Amino acid sequence: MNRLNLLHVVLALVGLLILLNVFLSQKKENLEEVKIAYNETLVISKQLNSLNDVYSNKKRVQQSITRLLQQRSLRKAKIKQKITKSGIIFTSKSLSLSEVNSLMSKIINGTYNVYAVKIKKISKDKVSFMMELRW
Amino acid sequence: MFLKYKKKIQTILLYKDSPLLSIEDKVNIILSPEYYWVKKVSLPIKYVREVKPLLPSLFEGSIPDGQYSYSAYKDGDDFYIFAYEDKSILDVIHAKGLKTAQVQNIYFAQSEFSALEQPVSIDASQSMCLEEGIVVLLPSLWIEEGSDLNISTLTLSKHKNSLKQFGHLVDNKSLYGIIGIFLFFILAATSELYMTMQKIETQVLQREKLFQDKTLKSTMMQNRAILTELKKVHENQTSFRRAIGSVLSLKLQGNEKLSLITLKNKKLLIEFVNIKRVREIQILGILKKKGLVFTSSLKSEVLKVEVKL
Repeated sequence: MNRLNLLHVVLALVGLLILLNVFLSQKKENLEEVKIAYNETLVISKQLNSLNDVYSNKKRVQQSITRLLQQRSLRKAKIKQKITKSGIIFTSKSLSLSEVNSLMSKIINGTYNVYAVKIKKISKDKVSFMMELRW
Repeated sequence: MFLKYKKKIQTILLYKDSPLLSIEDKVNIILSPEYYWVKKVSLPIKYVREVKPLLPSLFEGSIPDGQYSYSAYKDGDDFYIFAYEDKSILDVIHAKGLKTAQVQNIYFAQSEFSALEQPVSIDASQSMCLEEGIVVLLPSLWIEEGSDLNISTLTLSKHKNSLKQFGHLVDNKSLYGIIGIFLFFILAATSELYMTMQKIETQVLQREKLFQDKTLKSTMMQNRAILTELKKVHENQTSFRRAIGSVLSLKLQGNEKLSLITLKNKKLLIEFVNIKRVREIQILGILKKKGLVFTSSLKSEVLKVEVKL
């Protein structure tokens, strides 16, 4: 009577199958969670990369501004640059209207983080200018 | 050193008219010949394991139809082969007042009384004796001389038998089929489990690689916070460009001038000079149409417009 019979084997296999299925469903849930986490990381990394490149790339901003100020329309403008830890500040006591128009249109149409601006008319065709870009 | 005390287990003979039992301990049961079919056969094979597959065919046609289990043992050159119905025997055991769990071992009278020298009476009306090597039950009236059965002095053989409690529900062949099916499903579930675990590992590694390649911060909380901050910057810059674009596209009249543009603390302040009341309404109407949210004031023909970004 104590001997193992086939029915006991069947019952043991049923138990094993149930356990395996419970374990499998837990692992499948884990897989879904891991997939969701991966996709979320992928989306966030893409967004972070593109936004970082636009607003936090110090090297790109510096190179771009250097090129911008060397353009013919701005080459003669007396614009001072001050680079700080967090960004770059341009100042000019006197800019012509064409110079300020050229500079502003390029800054606004470019991808920069414009943090502060002050443009004040000082005479009929001159303005004082200050702009801070951040990275 | 430990000595294990081994309690002697009571042995009982189970037969059709045996009395009801009131035993709580475990028992060994010897089944009388009325509960099994037995044959003594001589076969050209050596081992019991070779006989076992042949047992159903050896009994075929010689016993009534039923759900039989089979067993065999070798004695000299002969094999004693048995056919018995588990359910019938279990029913008798229960009917006699015993529980299945109480049954230690099951024996057949054939194996335990094969050395009977003279008939033994098991009760007033029945006796057991050997007929050509087979233990049989006979009415005591047919026996001329015999002795009483003294089962307590009997030394049990090694020919134990097992009973299948649910054997009458499903036969062995079906059970092997069911076991095969379950093994198949277990194999399938195991391989799926293995593949799922591999996929999890791959995804985790890919995510770790993503962190390294994209130089992300170590926690997602930090990355989310940075992204939120950058999104705010982006929204702010979009608003600034839309507002300044709207202001610069205004068509000023006569001596109307734009005298000041400042951006500080996410506020854009614009000052126009030489603005009459009528023109103020027109300018503000245009800015509103362009969807800007602002506050304004007109003092001494200076129109100040403050746009919150």
